[in-house]
Amino acid sequence: MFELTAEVVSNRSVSGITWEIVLRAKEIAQTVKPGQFVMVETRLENEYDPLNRRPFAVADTEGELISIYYDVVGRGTKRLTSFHRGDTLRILGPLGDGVFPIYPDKRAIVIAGGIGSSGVSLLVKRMAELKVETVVLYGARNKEFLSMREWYEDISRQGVEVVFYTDDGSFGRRGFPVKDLDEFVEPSAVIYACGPKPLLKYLKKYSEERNIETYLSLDRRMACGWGVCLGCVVKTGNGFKRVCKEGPVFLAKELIDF
Amino acid sequence: MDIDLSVTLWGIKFKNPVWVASGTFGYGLEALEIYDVSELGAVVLKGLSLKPREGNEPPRIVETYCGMLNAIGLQNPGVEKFLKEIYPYLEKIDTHFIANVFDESEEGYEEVVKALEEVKKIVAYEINVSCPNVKKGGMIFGHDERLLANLIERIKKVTNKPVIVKLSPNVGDIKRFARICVEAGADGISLINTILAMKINIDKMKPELSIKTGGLSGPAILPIAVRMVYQAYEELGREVPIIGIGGISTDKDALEHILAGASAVQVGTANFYDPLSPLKILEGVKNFLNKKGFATFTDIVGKAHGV
Repeated sequence: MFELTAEVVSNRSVSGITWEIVLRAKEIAQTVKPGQFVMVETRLENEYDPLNRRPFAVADTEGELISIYYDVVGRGTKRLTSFHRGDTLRILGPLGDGVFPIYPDKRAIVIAGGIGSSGVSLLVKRMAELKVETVVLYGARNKEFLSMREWYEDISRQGVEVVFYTDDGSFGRRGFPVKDLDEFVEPSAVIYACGPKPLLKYLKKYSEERNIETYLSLDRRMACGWGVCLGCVVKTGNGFKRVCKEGPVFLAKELIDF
Repeated sequence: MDIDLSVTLWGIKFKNPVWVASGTFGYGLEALEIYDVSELGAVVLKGLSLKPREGNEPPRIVETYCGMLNAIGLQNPGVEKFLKEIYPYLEKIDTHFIANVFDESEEGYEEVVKALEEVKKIVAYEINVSCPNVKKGGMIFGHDERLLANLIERIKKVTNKPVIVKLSPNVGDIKRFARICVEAGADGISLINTILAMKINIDKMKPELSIKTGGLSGPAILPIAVRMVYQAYEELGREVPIIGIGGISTDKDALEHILAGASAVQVGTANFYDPLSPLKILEGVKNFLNKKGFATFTDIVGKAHGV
């Protein structure tokens, strides 16, 4: 875990409500594991609003750089868009002991919903490097909201099968990215997912009915991100667990309410 | 000039007056991954009760302007599990620990204190009578003069360690409650705990937090905390040490508390959004003393009250 000042290398609108910010954060770039996240300051020095840092998945790394995709939905993310190349902000990471485990010999089904695509992209990259048999099912509201489409098209050229979905059929298959699961899932496959709550809840049910090992990456409102505020807990079979510390990735069958 | 930041309270020497507040720092172990916790003057541990407590259902937190609300509900493993599984790690950290003690009954408070009495690194107790987020215990003691005095007297009978009472800001006359604590035998007071508050989600048309209300903390509450520390010092002077808590993000904020009368300060919510803030505050206080020509930290405690 590193607390450091990161330089903004770029910060741009990608499509829809999604932006991508690239930060120079060497220690984090070199140690982050798939599933981990960072807490990013979005306020200016000596200003205290919006107060807390915001949690974001590390979507990709390159050398000393980390890339974050974020939807502009509230005060923190709105403020984050005002940072420019050369500005600096404080970040803490990589965070989360609950990461995605990789099984080289098992077929991986990766499901990405909306901005959840940035929560599994690093996993997909690692699996491509390790030549794990991987299928990505990536869905969003419409073509515009498939904001990591280019990234996933690139990775599809490295042996990963990527299938796009849109709710309105404006790109790829029409419907939710879980609608054709039976087509891809085999009994020994492992499911990995990040996305909206209804999608994850569907996958919990789906995987339990078929006894498929499934890992879900959760997104929660957080104050600290490093395990001390106890604000981000979810209910598991072993009581409340911190999404920031024991998560953000949990075995689906561990979760009771989320 | 060599500035002496140490402060001796109840015969215990603290290496500096910058502590971290209960509930914002866990039991100190998470922070070890970020910095050397032994640089802190003291760590006030997350509240401990006799039995484990699950805490409240989520959502437990929500951000507000320059602050946040929390309604954690004193989730903790209970004193027994703390001693077995967590305390051994604290023994290696070179600073003092203060146990924040909470329970639903007087007996519960007594039992927690007794369980910690022989624990070497825990040098004092902070009695939590001001948590706004639990149904039983907590703030009930902090708001009832008779219950409060009785609780302090009972705890004092079962311990030889200093007893600090953490006061609620949700009372009308803070001086009165400060006085009651001292008359009942408290060795110090700390203030303030969070301020009872609410935020409503207008889309869902209901309160944001699961238990509806929560405690407001963060920079937004600094002036309220400073006012209450100032008033407590007016009442108590240096009869017993006053520990300032509330809205401290920077050295300037800490200095306001100190000048109002705090013999030490606790950094709380700032740990969340700036984990290194206690160390920055410590450095800033040192620079301030140097600039103003004071050799020791204790020279400026309560200075805002005039000579």
